[in-house]
Parts: sequence; structure tokens; C-alpha cells
Amino acid sequence: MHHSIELCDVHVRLGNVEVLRGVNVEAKPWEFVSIIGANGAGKTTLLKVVNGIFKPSLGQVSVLGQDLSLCNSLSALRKDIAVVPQKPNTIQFPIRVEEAVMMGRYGKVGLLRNPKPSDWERAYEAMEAVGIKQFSKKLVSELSGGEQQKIALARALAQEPQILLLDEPTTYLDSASRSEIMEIIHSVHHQRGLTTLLVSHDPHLVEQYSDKTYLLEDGKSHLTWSKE
Amino acid sequence: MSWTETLSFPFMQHAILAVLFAGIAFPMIGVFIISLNLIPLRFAMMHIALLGGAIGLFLKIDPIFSGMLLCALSSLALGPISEKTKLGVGTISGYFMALTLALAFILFYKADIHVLQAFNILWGNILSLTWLDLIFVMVVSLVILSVILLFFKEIQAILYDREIALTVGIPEKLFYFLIIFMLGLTIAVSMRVIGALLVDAFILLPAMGAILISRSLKQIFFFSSLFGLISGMIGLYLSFLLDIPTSSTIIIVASLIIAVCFLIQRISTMRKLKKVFTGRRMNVLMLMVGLPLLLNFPLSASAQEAVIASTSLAGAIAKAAGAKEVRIIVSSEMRHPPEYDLKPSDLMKFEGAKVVIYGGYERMVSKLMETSKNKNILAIQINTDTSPENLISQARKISEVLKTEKEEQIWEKKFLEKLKELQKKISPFSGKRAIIHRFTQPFTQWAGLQGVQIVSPGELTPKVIADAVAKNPDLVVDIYHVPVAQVIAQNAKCKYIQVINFPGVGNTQSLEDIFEYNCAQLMKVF
Repeated sequence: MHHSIELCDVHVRLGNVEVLRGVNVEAKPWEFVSIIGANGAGKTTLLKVVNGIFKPSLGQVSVLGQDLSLCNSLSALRKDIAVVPQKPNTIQFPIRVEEAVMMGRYGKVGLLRNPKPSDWERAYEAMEAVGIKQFSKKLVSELSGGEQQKIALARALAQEPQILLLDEPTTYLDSASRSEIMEIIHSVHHQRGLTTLLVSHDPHLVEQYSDKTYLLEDGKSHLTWSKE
Repeated sequence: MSWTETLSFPFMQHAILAVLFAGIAFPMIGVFIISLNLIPLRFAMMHIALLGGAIGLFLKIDPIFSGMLLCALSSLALGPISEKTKLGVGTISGYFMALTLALAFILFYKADIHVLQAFNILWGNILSLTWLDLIFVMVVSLVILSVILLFFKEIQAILYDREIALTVGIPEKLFYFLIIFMLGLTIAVSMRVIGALLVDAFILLPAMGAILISRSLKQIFFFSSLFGLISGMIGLYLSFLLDIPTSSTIIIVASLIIAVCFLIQRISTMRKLKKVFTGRRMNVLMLMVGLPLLLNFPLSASAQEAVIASTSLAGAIAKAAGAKEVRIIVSSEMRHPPEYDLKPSDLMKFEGAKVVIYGGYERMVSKLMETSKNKNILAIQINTDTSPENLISQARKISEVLKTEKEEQIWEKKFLEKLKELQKKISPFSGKRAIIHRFTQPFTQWAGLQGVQIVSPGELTPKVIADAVAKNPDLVVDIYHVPVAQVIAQNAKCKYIQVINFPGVGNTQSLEDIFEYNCAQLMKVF
């Protein structure tokens, strides 16, 4: 079986600093992989490498069987990779929850086309899966931090991705909300058969959900635990 | 004259069409500016247009098109450059602003172009639109509306969060660069065509009001267009009714709309109010506001004038030529005519005029004549050099057209007597060594001053200042409207005076007054 995500000896330089200095990470389909590391260890950079936003100065990145250095259309590939950012969007742009979630479908809907009823169905299914369907007509800015994090997750699910990238999705939440979000993530991971890559600074939060855990330290990765 | 009657004039028809297009489309660009924090781009475009104009004047091609072309090309380049340098469009705009201004001034200096003449290429006013101007406004407006309608969801995602747009598979950079391009184009066209003042009135203010009261991006776009249209139309009408400058009136109306939006946002029963201000009730409200506009109101200033003068100097020469009543367009107090904000009555003066006297450098006049319904108007271009010989020659030229030769001869006699009397008074200063601003040459030659160096308008170079100081002058004669040479007087520790070419300063009105005022300046310092 080929890997959904494969990073081989990846080095990434941002300005004058080499943030990643030999990272090796593998994630098979349906695997839940966690990357643990202190703040500033390069976790977010690693996710951006997987998404093709940062290009490695050295090493190879392969996503869904495609070598990113040879990929002609990153936009097309990104339609199958959903991202839940660390911090929910905080600008006070007036937008309803259902519209923010529907954005996850925009790439798949394509240019010069409007979302069809089936796209709205996917968006509502995603909102139901994370428990925010009742807020669908509210403005994003009217919701709490935890609820906004659920919007980001629902948007990612509405995208119907093969890969889910989660960047510290519980950082700004209280402990009850943290557990709730992690349960939802774990549940949709299994239900939808996703490959999930989650980065976090908290090893206790992810240990019970992960199939595999890497430690990111001094720009290098170490496999610390695996179910296999 | 009533409002409905004025609608038959081309200038008013053009203004209404421009408000219709620019009022609806340009505020949508304001939504981009506010959401993506691109305000510095507006200033950068202004300076880029100036550089484009300077290149045009330097290469002797149309400065208007070279200005707009450079704006279009720059806005294409700004996005990719800001991405490559990772500095952001705001910072890069600051860089472009400083660089283009510096390059423009070097070009002005090298080509010996007067700075005011250069800024004149940026002059635009909604009351002086030609068909070509209108086509520019319409094309840019249609491009904006088409892009927003066709790519609404992509734009929504980018305005919400560029990174999210990227991660869901939208070609985010392409759209972001397209937004920057449209923005640059809109600013360039609106600045050049409808004036720098209205750039904010049409682009930023309606968008600000819309963001305050809207609950979705669609509503923001809708309300910003609605506010742009309402403020443009009401502003145009009020400016006509009260005979006050049009651009400023439109801005005041747009600002009042923002204040109302702010109140709506603040009122605790906001939701109830929103229902009132949306849907059918909004249409009824608009009708209530709009109906009175269709009624006839008297226009306060629409007197038909025989002679129109572009500036106070042209006016003074016309008076000398025997014109009985002269109406001047640009106030004598205005140091920088390109900033002049037209009032509807200025245009009405044109409609009633038989003769227009102008210097040829006022782009405003040529545009007004082009847009005027009055095609029987006789334009007399005069040489505005202020030497006595030239002033007499120009007065004679005008008097021949006005058939007022007798009146002109009477003035000529009085004028020469006055000059003789003044020359006696300043004779003790004849032969004084003077550093002379080029624009003051006609006066200094007449006054018998010995010009040891002539300085050009524009920024002085260190070498020019050093050379001038080394000549050990008795006096520096600068020009009141664009003084540049005070630094020479300070360093040479000599006398310094400012003289005038245009009447208006110190209650001066006539050509004789100009010479009297200038002689008084000379006598004051010795």
C-alpha cells in the first residue's frame, strides 16, 4: 500500500533559518498520525510543506502518490487536502456559519460554477457531524472560540478530503471543549476513512487517538510510538 | 434654470452617467481595500500616475495615457513583487510611492517642466467628463462588476482568509493579483477622470458605511453600491441646488451616510431597523428620497456671461482690453489650479459664454470646452507673459475680437503712465544684483534689476544654491505662487522678495495693481 503522505529527509529554510533539518514522516491511508513538539519546533512549517505552501530545500515530499516537486497543479491536489488552522479566523468579516463551511466546497465546485444543492447537503452534513448545524444562519463572529474551531473543522469535512491536516486545533479552547473537539476529530477520521496528520505541543492530548506519533525536535523527527 | 433643464447639458448628462457607473462599481473596490488593508496603494497609484505623466511630457507623448498605462502596468507588477519580497502590498506601495515621486521630480528637472504643469495632468472633475473619459469609467466599472459576479465565491474566500482560500484549492494568488490590478486601474482612472477628491468618495466611503451595517459579503457589495449611487446622485443634485463644489458635496453626503450607518449599528434594536432598511421598505424609502430630486428647483447662479477667463491674470487682461464683465473660473487665491473643484455654476458660465480667454496650460479649460453644449464659444488663447509689452499686445488682441479697441486704448494710456510713475519710484534700485526666479523675469527686466543668475521652478540642486550664493547677490526675487529660492537668500544673507504674476494677493485686481504690488515689495526691503 502506498503512503498518503511521505516526507523523506526534508529540509526547509525560511529566510536564514533552517527550520526543518531532516524530517522523515510517513502516513498510510486511514492512519491517524500525530507530530509532537515544543513551540517553534517547526510543526506548522511541516504541515505547510505537506500542503505545498513551503518548498523543501532538500529532500522529497510525496502526497497522495504525487511527488510535490513534479506536481503541475497544486490547486487540484489541495482539493483533496483539508486544513484546520491553529487559530480560527478572527477578522470581523460578516459571514454566516453556513457560508464559511461551504467555502470548503469551493475548490471542488470549480471556477464559474455556483454550489449545487448537493454541495449544500455536504456542508450541512459536515455541520451536523461537528454539532453546529443549529448555528448555520448565525454570523461566525457571534460564536465562541470553540464553536469557531468547529466551523473550521466542518469546513475541512465539507471539502470531502482524503487527507486532514490539523494544526494545534485545540490550543485556544478550555479543557472540556478540547476533549469534545478531539472526540469529533477521531470519530470523523474513522467514519470517513481519512489520513489525518495532527500537530500538537501536548502529548497527552493525542496519545489515545494516534496510530503513530513523531517527536519533532531541533528540526528533526523521531518516531516515538507506533501501533504496528 | 431648473434641475430638469440642466439635464439637457452634456456636462450634466456625462456626470450622471459617471455617477451611475462609478457609483455602483467603484465602491466594490473599496470593499477590497478595507478588507485586504490596501489603503497605501491608493497613494502609490497617485504618484505612479505622476511619474507616468512626467515620462509622457519628457518623451512628448500624451501624459494622460502614459500615466494610466504606467498605473496599469504597476498594478500588474505590485502583487507578484509583494509576494516575492514577502513585504505585503502596503509596504511595497510605500516603496513605489517614494521611488516614483523621486523619479518624477528628476524628470521634471531634466525636462524643465514646471511642477504645477505636471500636477495639472492629474486634474480631473466629474463635471468635465468627455466621452472618452466616460468610456474609461464604463469599461473599468463593467470589468469590476463582471469579475465580482463571475468569481464571487473565490473573492469571498480570499477576503475571508487568503490561506483558507489557498487550502481549499482556489488559485488564490491569481485572484489576489487580479484584485490588485483592478484596484490600481480603478484608482488610476478615477483619479485622472473624476478627480483625486472623488477617489475616496466613490471608492472608500460607501464601502465603509456598508461594512458597518451588513451581515454578509453580498450585502456589503450591495449596500456599498447603493451608497455610492445615492451619495453621487444626491451630491450632484445638492451641488447644483446650492451651487457648491461637486466633489466636496458628494463626499459630505457619503460621510453623512456613514454616520447614519454608524448610528444604525449602535442602536440596540439594530435588527428591527435592518428589516426597515432592507427589501421593499428600502425601495419605498429610496423613492421618498429620490422623488424630490425630480422636482424643479431654481439654480442660484446661472447668469449668462460674455467673457470667461480661466485665471485672474487672463481676467485682468480681458478687463484691460475693455471687456465689461469678466467671470473668472479659478479663484485668484488658488495657488494650485489643478486642485480646483468645479461647481455647476462654473459650467453654466461656459454654457452662456461668447468668449473664453485662457493661457493654454489649463487642461481644465480645454476639457470644459470639449464637454460644453455651447459650440459657438470663441476661445482666445493668450500669452500670459507679464512684460508690459506683451500685456499690451494681448489686450489689443482681445479688444479686436470684442470690438472694444477704444476702451483698450484708453486703458493702454493709463497703464503706461502708471508704469512710468512706478519706474521713477524704484529707479534707485536699478542695477541691483539679483538672483531671479525664471517666472519673475518679465518684472525684473522691466524694473532694471541685474539678473546674475536665473533659477528654475522645481527643487533646487545643491550646485545651483552654491553657485547662486557665491555670486554674492543683493537680492533674491522669488515668485509668490511657487516660491523656491528663499534658501539662497538665507545663505547669501541678502534681501528677499516674492512678486506676483497673477492678481489676487493683497487686494490686487488689475494689471496695474500687479506692478504696484511688486514695486512695493522691492521698496519695502531697501
